Amino acid sequence: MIELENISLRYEDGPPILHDVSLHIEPGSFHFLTGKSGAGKTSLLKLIFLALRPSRGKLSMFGKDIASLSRTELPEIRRQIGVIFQDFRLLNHLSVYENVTLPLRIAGQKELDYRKNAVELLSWVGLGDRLMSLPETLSGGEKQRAAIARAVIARPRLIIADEPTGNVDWEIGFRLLRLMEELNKMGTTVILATHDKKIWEQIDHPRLHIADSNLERITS
Amino acid sequence: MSRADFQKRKTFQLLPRQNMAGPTLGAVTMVMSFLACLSLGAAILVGIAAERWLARATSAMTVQIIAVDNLQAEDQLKAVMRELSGFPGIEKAEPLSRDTLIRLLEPWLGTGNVTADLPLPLLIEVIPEPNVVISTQALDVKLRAVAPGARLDTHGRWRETLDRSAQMLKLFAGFVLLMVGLATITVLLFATRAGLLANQEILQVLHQIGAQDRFISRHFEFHFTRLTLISSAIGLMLAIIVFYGLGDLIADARDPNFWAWLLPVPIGFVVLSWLVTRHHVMRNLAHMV
Repeated sequence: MIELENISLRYEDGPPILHDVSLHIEPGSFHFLTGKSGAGKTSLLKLIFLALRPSRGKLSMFGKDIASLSRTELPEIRRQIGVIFQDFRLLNHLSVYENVTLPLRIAGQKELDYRKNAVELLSWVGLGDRLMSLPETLSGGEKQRAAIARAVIARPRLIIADEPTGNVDWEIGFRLLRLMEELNKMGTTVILATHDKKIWEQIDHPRLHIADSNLERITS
Repeated sequence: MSRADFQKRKTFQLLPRQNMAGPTLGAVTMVMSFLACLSLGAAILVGIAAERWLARATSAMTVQIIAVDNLQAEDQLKAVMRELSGFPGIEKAEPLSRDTLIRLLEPWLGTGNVTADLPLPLLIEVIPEPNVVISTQALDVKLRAVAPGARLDTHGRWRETLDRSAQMLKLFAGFVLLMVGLATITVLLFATRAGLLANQEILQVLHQIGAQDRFISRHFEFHFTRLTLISSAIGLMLAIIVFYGLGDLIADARDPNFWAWLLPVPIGFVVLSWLVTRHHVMRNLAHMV
C-alpha cells in the first residue's frame, strides 16, 4: 500500500530529517509512529499524505509511483487518505456538518446522496446534536471528533493521525484510540504518530520509531 | 435533525463572506474606485471644456476698418461687407454697433469716459461656417484691395496661448489620472493579496483533502471578484453623485453619456482583481506538492 524506497528528506540546506529510509506498509495494518519531539514524525507523515516531496528516493502510494503522477492526478490519491491534524484544521466559518462533509462536496457528490450517512457518522462520533454548531463553540474533544469524522467520511483507504492525543485529555485520547481500532477492524490502514508511551502501550501494534534520521520497525 | 432544519440553513459558502479581509478590502476598493472615477471624470471634463474653448476661439474673427487718406471708415464698410458676403465659408458677418464698441472699451477706459468725438474704428464680427477652414490670407488681401483701411484680425496670438493652456490642462489632468491609476493598481494588488493571505488556511485545507487546483482557484476568484465588483460599483455611484452635484457649474457632469465613460473603472477593477487572485492562488498551490 505504501512503499518508501531509500527515502531521504532535508529542508533546503538544513540537516537531513530522514536518511535512506525504506518502509513497506501493508493494507489493513495499524502502525504507531513514535520518536522524540522534532525527530521527524510529522515530516514522514507529510511525505505520506503528499504534503512534501522526498529529496531522494522513491515513494509509491496505492501501487502508483508518486513522482510519475501529474499534478491533476494527485488529488485523487489525496482523497484516499484521511488526515487528522494535531490542530484539527477545521474551517471556522463552516458548521460541523459542513466541515465534515467537505471532502464529499469537493469530490462532487450531491448533498441529498450523503446527508443521511453524514448525520449517522456525526451521531456515531457523539456530535449528533452539534451539527450546525461552529467549530469555535466546540470543546477540544468535540473538535477532535469533528476532525476524525471529516477524515473518515469519504471512506479513505488510509488514515493518518498526527499526535491526535496531544491537545486533549487522556480519557478522550483513549476513546480516540478505540475509534481508530474500530476503523482498522473495518479494513482501514492506520498510521498514528505519538510521542506518548501510554498510547502505544494500550494496544499491541507494530511501532515505527524515528531516531537520528533513521526509521526502525519495533514489534512487541 | 429534521429536513426542515437543513432547509433553514444559510447557503453554503466555501469562503467566508465576513472575515478580517472582507470589509477592509471592500472599503479600500470602494475608496480607490471613487478616486479613480473622480480623476477620470475630471480629465474627461477638462478635455471637453478645452475643446469647446478652442472651437469657439478658432472660429471667431474680426475685421477692423479705420479711416485712411480721404476715406472714412463708414465709406469703406459697404465694399467690405460685399466682399465678406461673397467669400466662401463665411456664415455671418455683422458690424458691431457703437454701443457695443463702447461697452468693449469700458474695462480699459472706464464707464462714461468715451466721448462722442473719440474716433472709434468700425468692427465687423465674422463667423465662419462650422468645420470650414477659411484662407485668412486670401481674405485679408481681398479686403485690403477693396478697402485700404480694412484689417483682418484672426486673434492668432490669443488663440495660440489658449491652445497651449488647454493642452497643458489636458496634460496635467492626464498625469493626475495616471498617478491615481498607478496608486489604485498598487493598493488593489496589496489589498487583494492581504485578503488572500487571511484565507490561506482554507486554501491549504482544501488542497489537503483532495480539491483540484482549478476548483480552489475558481472559488477564490469568484469570492474576490464579487467583492471587488460590489465595492467598485459603490465607488462609481458615489463619484456620479459628486458629479451630479457639480452639474450647476459644469453641465456636462450631469450627462449620462459622460457617466458611461466612467464604467471602465469598475470593469478594470474587476479584471485586475480576477487576474491577481488567480495568479496568487495558482502560485501558492504550485508551491504545495
